[in-house]
Amino acid sequence: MGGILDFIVEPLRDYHFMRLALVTGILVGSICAILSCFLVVKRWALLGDAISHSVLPGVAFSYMLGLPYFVGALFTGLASSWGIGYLQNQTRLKEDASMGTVFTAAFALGVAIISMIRGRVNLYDILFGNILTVSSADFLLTAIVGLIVIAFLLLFYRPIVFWIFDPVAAQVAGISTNKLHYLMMFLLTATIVASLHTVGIVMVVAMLIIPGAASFLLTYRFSYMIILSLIFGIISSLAGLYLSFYYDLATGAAMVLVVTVIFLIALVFSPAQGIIYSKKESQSTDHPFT
Amino acid sequence: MPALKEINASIPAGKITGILGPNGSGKSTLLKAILGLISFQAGSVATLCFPLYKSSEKFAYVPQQNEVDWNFPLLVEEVVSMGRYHPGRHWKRLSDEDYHMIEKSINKFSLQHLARRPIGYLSGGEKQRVLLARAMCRNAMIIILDEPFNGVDANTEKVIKDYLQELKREMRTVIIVHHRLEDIGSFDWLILLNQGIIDQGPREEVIKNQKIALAFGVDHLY
Repeated sequence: MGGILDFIVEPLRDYHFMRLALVTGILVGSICAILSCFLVVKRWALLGDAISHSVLPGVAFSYMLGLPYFVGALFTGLASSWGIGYLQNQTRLKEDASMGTVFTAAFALGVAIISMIRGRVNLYDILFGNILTVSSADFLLTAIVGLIVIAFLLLFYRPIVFWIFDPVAAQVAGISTNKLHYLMMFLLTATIVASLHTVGIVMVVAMLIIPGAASFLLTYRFSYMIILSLIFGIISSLAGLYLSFYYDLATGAAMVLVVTVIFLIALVFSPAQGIIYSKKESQSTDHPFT
Repeated sequence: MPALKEINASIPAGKITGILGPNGSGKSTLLKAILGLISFQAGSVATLCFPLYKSSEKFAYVPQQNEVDWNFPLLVEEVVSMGRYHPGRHWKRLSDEDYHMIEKSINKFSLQHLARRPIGYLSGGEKQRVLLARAMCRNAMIIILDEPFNGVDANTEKVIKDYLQELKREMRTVIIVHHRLEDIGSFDWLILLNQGIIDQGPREEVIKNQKIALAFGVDHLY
């Protein structure tokens, strides 16, 4: 028992950066997990992928101009989500080609700039995150963004759910679905920017999809889905952090691997879509409800 | 390229109007124009209706079944309660009146035993009844239904027709988009649509004018 406690407490007692990493990790895991539920039901999972890659040139520009990195990141992230929307609505291109074009182009621009200013930015840390270098300023940014994202999602919970479930009826009911669309884009971009230092722009995609996807398999109520996803997000941040501390793994990758294991467990035990129960169900015609 | 040109139609208040036309005739476009969801290059839509006592909303909309996401993790009662949504008080808890209307609508469409069932586990007829219950609890003056008879069983079809008559008795205006020539017996007024308006008027008159063939193509008559 003492062994396990030491395992958990010792790094926190001995290293200041571990305490900071722990709270920041939990925050990032929570925000991403809550948002991921909305992205999964809205089928925006790949939009998260696209925006996260588009953040890179913004980070690079900010370093070049000596600005805080989140200013540029937020700018190119939002610009690319606008660009994707423009291509999709104004040309015959569909969503996938629009996203694929914009985010790969932005990503290439980012890599090009970073290779030009080599030495001042560590590309590896931006791509995959390094939570152990998180500063108090990064923590503060994450906390503020987290508060904003969660406040908006709580405040607009009902209209957002209505809009995702039935966009036309939502509009008839007086919801400005266009505003909600851009609000969600903004929240998504802000979350990605806030997660940059912790999990990196490649791994954040996983944290924005997998917790929600796992909880989607386990429940038929959206409110429960959010709570489950939140738990999964926190567990994977914590476990990922300790794994990376003790076994010297990349933190973002460790977190994603943990959440993937959770997903696989959900896949096995899912009440209707899972490997165990769906076999049972096929033997009787009754479904698991009523 | 406009989807519809030079539409001039009037829809009587307190009656059941059917907008009839084959697929791709512009029915959905006209519907969205009435609802004010799309912009037009010219013209306007005016809705005047009876000042219905205690009606809380102008429009209630019943979408086609496949327009909504039935995989969404929601319960039947959660979908019905969306009908009580009002912009401006969306962060408040539902009031007693809201709960009363939700319960009344659930009972009206015999969904009591399904109220706590996930929407992914409903038959076509049950799904339609959920959408109707959601529209009913809006307590609106104008009820717009997009293909309500699609994919429903005979029992639900009867439930829908009875409900339409009830709405009419309450002096509400009903507009139904419909792509077949069957099941039009309950409509008072018809608008025949195919890119433009082919004919409009009281049902018997429109049938007598025999322009249905123009709207639907000759195949439908022989």
